[in-house]
Amino acid sequence: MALKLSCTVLTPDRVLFNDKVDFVVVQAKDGEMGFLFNHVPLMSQLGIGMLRLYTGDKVDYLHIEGGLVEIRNNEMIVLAENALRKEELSADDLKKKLSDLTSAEKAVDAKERFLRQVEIEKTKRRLKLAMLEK
Amino acid sequence: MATQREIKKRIVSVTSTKKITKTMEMVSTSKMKKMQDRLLKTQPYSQKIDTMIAHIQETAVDDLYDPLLLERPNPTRVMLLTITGNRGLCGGYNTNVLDETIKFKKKLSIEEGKEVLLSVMGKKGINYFKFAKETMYKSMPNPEDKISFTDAAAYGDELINQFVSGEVDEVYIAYTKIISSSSQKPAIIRLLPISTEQHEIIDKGGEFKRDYVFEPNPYEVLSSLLPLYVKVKLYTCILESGFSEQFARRVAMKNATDAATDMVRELTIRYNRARQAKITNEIAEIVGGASALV
Repeated sequence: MALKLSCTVLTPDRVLFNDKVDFVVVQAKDGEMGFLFNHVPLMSQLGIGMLRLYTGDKVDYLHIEGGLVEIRNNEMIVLAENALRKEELSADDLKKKLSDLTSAEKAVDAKERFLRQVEIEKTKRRLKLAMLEK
Repeated sequence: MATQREIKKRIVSVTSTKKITKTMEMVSTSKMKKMQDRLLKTQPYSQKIDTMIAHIQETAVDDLYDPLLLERPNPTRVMLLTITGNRGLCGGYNTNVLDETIKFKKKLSIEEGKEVLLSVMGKKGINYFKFAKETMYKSMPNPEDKISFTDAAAYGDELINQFVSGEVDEVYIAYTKIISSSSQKPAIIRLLPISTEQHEIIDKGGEFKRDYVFEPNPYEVLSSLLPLYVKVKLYTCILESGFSEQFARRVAMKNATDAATDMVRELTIRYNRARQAKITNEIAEIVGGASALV
């Protein structure tokens, strides 16, 4: 199909994805958001979660943690603060990390507690993607 | 005139120095390439951030406001971050950036009467200010090639917090800017508040304002975009300085190696002369002795 949009996924350290795709689903700030050809110009904040890129029968999975997405003229740019490929995630390591995090003593400091919560959330989402069967 | 043995000794010592400088040159070359690689990888990101900021600016939303863009009417406290190296042997690299910092600090504190808080990154800078008995607000070693974006982002957050809370009114960075792949110069930029003229609107959409959908709203998008911009800017400054340091060290070490090569050549000539003179002398003595016998 010719109706494809070009999509670039970037982190400050690397280019994770740069190709034409049919359909993209991103984890926006509150809920998932899908993009097809001829999407209206949009800018959105990103949350923590999965980014799915559909090209024909192929689906690429990425994990993103915060950032922004912009689409205009069928050019989509995802600027993530941190991002990982599905292959880079190991379910076993993440399970261990999650159990370490949840079993650790309760932080007294409110800021620390908040950061711990964010870390747990990130690990959960990473784990979810790592365990995902194709 | 130096004896044969003395010259020999010097040749040996210069040769071993040459070996060291040669190795350092090669080490710097490989570190420099690594830095360059990382810089190239960051480039698309910072470019895209710039274009996104430009895109927001050209939308129909015209009362865009963010605390990070706000110029304070009478800035009194200024943060100045200097990025130097941890080690010397790199020509004028550290001195140049420190000179620039001192000059700028004097300008701010004497001419404009602002209070300047010094933040220093890199052991060379820290030692310099310690020696000059200047108080430093914060000092940290240069992470060199171990720098990750997460570290830079954490420090960026700290700067942003200090700025937003009103602890400081402006933040500047003194670093070594890459002008071309063979020329680097110390430069000072203002990190905060973000100057809007830095992002000149690249007009592609014609005279019409574009209608964008913002999720959740333009203000929040902008206020998550700008800190990202600051962090990436800081990260690039550190990377550029790192690249410049390795480049400067490479040049310095190359010069040292060349000088050592010249010196060895000259010393060898002198050594051979001394040896020749000694032989001639011995022959003359033998001939003299023989003629005395006849």
